[in-house]
Amino acid sequence: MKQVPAAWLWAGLIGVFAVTLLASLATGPTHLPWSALLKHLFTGPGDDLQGLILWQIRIPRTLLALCVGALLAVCGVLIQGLFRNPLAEPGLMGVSSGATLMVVVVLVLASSLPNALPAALRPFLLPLVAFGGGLAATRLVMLIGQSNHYSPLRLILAGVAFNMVAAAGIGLCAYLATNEQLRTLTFWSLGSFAAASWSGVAITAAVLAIIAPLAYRLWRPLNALLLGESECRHLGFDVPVLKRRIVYLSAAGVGAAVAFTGIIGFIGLVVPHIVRMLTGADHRRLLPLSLALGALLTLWADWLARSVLSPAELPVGIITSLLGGPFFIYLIHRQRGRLL
Amino acid sequence: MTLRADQLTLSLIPGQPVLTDVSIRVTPGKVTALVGQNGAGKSTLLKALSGELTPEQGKVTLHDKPIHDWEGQDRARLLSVLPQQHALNFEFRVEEVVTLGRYPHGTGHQRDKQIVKEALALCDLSQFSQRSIDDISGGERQRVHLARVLAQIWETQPEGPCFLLLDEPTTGLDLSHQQALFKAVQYFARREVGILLVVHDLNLAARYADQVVLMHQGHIVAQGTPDQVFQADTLQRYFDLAVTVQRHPRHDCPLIIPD
Repeated sequence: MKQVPAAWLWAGLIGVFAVTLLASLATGPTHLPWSALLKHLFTGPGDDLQGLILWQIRIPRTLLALCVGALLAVCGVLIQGLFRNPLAEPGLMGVSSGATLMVVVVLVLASSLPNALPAALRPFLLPLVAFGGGLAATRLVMLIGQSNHYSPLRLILAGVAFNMVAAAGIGLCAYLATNEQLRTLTFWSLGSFAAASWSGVAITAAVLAIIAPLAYRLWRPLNALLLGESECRHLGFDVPVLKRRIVYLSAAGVGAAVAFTGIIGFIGLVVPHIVRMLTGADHRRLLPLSLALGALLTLWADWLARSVLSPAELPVGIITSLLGGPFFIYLIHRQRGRLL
Repeated sequence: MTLRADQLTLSLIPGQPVLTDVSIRVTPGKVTALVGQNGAGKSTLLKALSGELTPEQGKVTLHDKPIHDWEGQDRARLLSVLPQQHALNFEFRVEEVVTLGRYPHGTGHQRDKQIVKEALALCDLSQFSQRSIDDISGGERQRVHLARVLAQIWETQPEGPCFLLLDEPTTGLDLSHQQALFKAVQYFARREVGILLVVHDLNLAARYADQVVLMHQGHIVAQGTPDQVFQADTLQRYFDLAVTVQRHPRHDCPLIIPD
């Protein structure tokens, strides 16, 4: 396929971004006219309802969608580079299911725990538990894959095994859960930006601000790794250290994303693939462009989730999976003969 | 100032050594061909020399310093390796793959671009530079990887001569590109690069190599000039095949003809 110059892509992305941002801020159960939107955007929330809706609900939600989309896409690039396989995604390493399992366990089996905490800490409990669960799952998968220098195949198999056990655990908790708990479980397993808050935005933005530059610094070794581990080593890179960095960066990124929004599938899989089809596999372009496109696609997905059944809203994970699933089938079809 | 292995013993499965007491020296400015039957330990020796495998006994040194004591990037500026197989599942352009060979160097974008262009020209790939690596043939892809490892040791380094290890570089190449490959290798040898290559075509080794090392069941059983090693009885014994060795009618080297 003919490659598109990166500069054109950036120009296109920025243009579409501006339009999408405004559309996202204007959309919701309460209609915000453009005049009120622009006024409150520049003057702050003020005292009226529209200002509060914009600053307390719409802006945090939009920013959270952007940060989470960017994180998921960057982590997708890292994991696909690690496994040297364009069909890999962060969920393979057990991050998402580890996070969800821990949340479900706390919700169902330790339901009195939130009440035992000071009120100020309660909103952070589930995100922290999810983050810890994601990291612990990755650590476990890494430990299993550790012998043989984190061979990609071993890591994938360890991830698959862990995902199965986690699914069993989640299923068991769902079986034991009350009706009210089941609704919260649905939120975590399907993903949603409905609970966005400024604290969530601050934390995911901070994680993104740390992870994105660290990931970008790896563009050369990531390119070299695509040739194979021994070639990467012959080009002067320390392969075990590189692999460890990739895994922990993506665990932290996906952990932070899952912590505030639940599992949002396919962004990490599909976005790097689209960018690669447009500009090639060079990570110097792939990483920043995936970050931008991941943010944009997630914002679109959230906008759709709010618009399709307005004033009700769908969990965003349903939208991404609904669009991502057929795209995944298309990818498998396109890769036939090369990988499968 | 050389790349050498001293009395290496190395097993991939415990108790079954693939290399036994192997010593070899890759001399700057010389082309050394490593020959032997399949499974003789040639690729394993190459991996030990590059530091990819660690021997149980013996040591590998690059410019008198143990290979594992070198910093990755410093080592990669001096030692370039072409493995036997390449797996690239992603759409890189030919030029991008060759540019990977410049990663260990901090010579700047302009200089790297120039070297990549020259390496592509040397491997007869200039017309493919913007093509995707997926859209070219297997032999052309092999030449792309060759251009990459050549770009890696394109310039002499202050630390001393560079070394090039090639594992069956002629795989998939047509006759004229096989000859071109060896001419490129000789050109680098004249620039004081030490070259060790695994090759199955004994006549190519006879014509282009300065030295031949013959391996059999993990041991080095003969080494010397092509004339010294390519004796009919030696080849018959270690390749299990009756051969006639004659003089090449046009070049001053042996010509091996299987009976």
